[in-house]
Amino acid sequence: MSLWNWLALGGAAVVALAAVAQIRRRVTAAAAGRRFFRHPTAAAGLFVLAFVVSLALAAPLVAPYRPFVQIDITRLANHAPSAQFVLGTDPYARDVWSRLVFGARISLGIGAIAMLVAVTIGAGVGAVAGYFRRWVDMTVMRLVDVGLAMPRIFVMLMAVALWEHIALPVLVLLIGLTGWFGTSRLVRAEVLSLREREFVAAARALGAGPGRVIFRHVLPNVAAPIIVSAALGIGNVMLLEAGLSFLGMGVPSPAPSWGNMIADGWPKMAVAPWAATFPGLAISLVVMALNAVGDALRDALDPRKETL
Amino acid sequence: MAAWLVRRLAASIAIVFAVATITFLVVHIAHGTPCGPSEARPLAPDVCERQRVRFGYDQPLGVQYVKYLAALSRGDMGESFGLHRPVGDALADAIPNTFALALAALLIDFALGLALGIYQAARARRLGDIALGNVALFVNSMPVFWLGLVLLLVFAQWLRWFPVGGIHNPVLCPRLDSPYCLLDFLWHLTLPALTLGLVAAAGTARYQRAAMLEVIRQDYVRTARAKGLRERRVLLVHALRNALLPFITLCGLAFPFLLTGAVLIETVFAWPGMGRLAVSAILQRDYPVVTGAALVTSTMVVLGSLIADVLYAVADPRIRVRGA
Amino acid sequence: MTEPLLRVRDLQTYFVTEHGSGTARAVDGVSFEVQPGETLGIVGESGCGKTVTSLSILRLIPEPPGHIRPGSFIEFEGRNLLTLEPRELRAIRGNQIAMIFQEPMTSLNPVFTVGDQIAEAAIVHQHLSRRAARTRAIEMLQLVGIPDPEERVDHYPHQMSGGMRQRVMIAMALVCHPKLLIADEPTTALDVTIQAQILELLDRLQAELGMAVMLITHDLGVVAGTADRVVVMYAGQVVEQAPTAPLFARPLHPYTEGLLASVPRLDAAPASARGRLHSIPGQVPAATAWPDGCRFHPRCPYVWDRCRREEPPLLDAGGGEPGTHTVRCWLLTEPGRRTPRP
Repeated sequence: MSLWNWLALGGAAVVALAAVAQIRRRVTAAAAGRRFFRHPTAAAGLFVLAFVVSLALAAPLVAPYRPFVQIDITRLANHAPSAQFVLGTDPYARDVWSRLVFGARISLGIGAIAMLVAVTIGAGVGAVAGYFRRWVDMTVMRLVDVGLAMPRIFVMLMAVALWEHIALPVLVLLIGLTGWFGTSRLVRAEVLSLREREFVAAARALGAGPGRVIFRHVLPNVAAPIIVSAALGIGNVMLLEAGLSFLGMGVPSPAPSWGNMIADGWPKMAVAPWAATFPGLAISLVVMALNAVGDALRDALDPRKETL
Repeated sequence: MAAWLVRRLAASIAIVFAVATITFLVVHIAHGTPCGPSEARPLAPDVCERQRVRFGYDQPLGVQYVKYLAALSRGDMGESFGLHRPVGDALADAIPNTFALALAALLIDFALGLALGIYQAARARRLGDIALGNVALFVNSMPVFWLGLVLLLVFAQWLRWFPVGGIHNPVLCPRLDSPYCLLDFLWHLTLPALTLGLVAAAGTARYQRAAMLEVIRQDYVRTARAKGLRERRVLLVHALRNALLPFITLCGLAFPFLLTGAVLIETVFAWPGMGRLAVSAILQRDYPVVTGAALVTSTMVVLGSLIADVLYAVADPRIRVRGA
Repeated sequence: MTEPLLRVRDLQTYFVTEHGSGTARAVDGVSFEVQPGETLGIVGESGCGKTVTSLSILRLIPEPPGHIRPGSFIEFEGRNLLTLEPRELRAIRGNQIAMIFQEPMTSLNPVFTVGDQIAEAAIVHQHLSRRAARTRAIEMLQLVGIPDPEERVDHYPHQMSGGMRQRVMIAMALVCHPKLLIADEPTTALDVTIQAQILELLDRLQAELGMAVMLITHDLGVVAGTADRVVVMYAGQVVEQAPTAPLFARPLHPYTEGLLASVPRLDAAPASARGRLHSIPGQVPAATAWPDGCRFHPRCPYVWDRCRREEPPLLDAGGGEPGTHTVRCWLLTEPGRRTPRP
């Protein structure tokens, strides 16, 4: 890694620190914000996330090599970490650090997009079920029960088995489509209780139709479980994508994803453990940060803690 | 309570039914025939036609559906293209192995997770709790297969304490027919079960800690202390008995995680279970095996959830006994 | 005078608050005594520290946010409760000193039968066998007036009404015949008719078992009927202390006066021409910021500048032996100022 790379790395860290500091300043004005930052892991988690996102965005600056470049397949495959290859090279003589940084774009990107799909569908379905109740609620919730009965990975395996070639965007969409069930239950429960409150009656008395009532009045108040679901959801998607990529069904080589990097490094694990270890460590850290932030959010946004 | 049980059972059966139906529809939408647009196995048109008739794909959808359900009730899930044997048989060979793995992981999960959760709640916000909490958070965030690889590397390759994979020593113990072979089986089971179990236990510990803390805040715990009971009894009898209720719920939710993890772990450790079967079937586009595995897995998830609900109803006197 | 059963002196229980709002001095120098066999009523609004006082006696204050400060002294039958080893403290809890709480709905463990919970105290303290303890439990249920005790002993708390649950709590507390029963707002969460039954039950049991009762409540009506002596608390301190009859006949502290005047009475003349109910103006201050000087001065109708500057000590108001009737008010030194403001 050259000096510029190191500088860019430092720059990313500084940017991340600054971002967290800014967030902290803005948010601790409210009681919820203070509750959030009372968790020591919350700030650390935010920093890790900000840092990884900065690295991903600044990938060309931080990585000395392009991710697909096989540097010298005869001599530099499975090279141990050194000054030039900070995290070593993988069995295909590619720089692990560069692939890790570019892989962050893909893994995080998939996580975010699939989570958005899942949370949007889940919130929408849950809100509709909770608002309209009776047979709409019943049918939707039976569907949710069925959805929850099939483990996601098996659904994905079935999809891959049945349609031989699944384009990556479709795969991401599928991951999102299989992940909305839990969120819908949470949102439904919230909406069911909120429905009885006066502001809903007031909105309806003013002539607002169900769509408007749901989207303008009820959903904003359901923000808390949705946000927590989202934070934890990204982590789950990243783990699922890593698993699929590891099995060879996710992100196709040579594009780097943290999951398929582990798959690439696996055969040579005894000789060159770094190729598979660092991507796994990266996943663990990011998911850990997401879990910490999600837990702190859940505690901060807990309505029971709202005092006058 | 009996009425509730019947309704719950009916709901479970309905869900399994629905999953089977969805599987059927999806398969037919994707692959109407056994010789679909597959470049790998281009079949002559008349061979294709004969295959269609043989597998019954020329009949109306409704009839196929009924036949499908009838076959399922007999345990017949079709024929595997790749293995050339009934799917049911292949699965029947693989399921016990997955079951053993999942059960062992579940035991580790319960024992470790519960103990850790209780310990953390008793030492809440002190050093032990904070340190363990962060470790549990980290372990729970790991990809299961990655932990498996790391443990394999350290304990099997470097330290040589455990075998590098597989389910038995193929030379000495091709079948489980002696106490030595049982030990051999358990020796092979240790690392995979430990991998799954540790990650699951980390999650359980976090959950159970929260549940215990919630219970410890309750008035009846204060009453127990005011009666002059020892702190250990207050925690392990009065508090825990209440905190076990959410634990039972958690157990019901453990099945999806364990079965998902099994797919990945079986691949890493070459464990001949259902997951590995499904994964290798995919590489050959052998979808009857994959859908069969999906169906069996879903049934196990539903069953686990049902058992958890029943246990909960039995354990909570507020549900078991009608109130005032 | 006989040796008091319980002697509390200079009790201070503080809580550390999370938001940096400072320390909440919930109980700030409270002293009183309980004689064997007597009923002491502790009265005050919510926030005055009466519940914290009662929890402090049995050291049931959760230690991280709260702590009993050194210099506090709680003596039971000559032993300092605050310096006891945990084992010795446990031998007193539920055995010599028992406590019942305000919320019968949540104070009983929902997953154990009522009989098991009552028997537990007997098994732990008196080492009875399970069968003997169960028989005791049935006896106790009978004693507190629960019908069909042989059947009820195997019921769960959720199968009983609030009033019955409170009776169970009383049975649980009394199974080892304690010398002192601390009852923290035992009737607040119950219907008025049930309230009367529970109070009557406590009265009867006290006479039968010869125990002392410390009755904590915000309801003066409860105290008037059952207490021998009354301690009035405000802002973490004792502000007046007297036998019941003299307290009600001639309340000396303005707060006590206000409390009594606030009780609606059918036969009293209307406090003002428009027949409005009397209330003490203002609110109880936060425990993190007690007012300077006399803590009641912002709400007192007789306040003058000495009250704002100096905190009054407990002064003797006469009425028999010294210490019978004490009041924390400067009016005792300048009785001429006791003229109501318009």
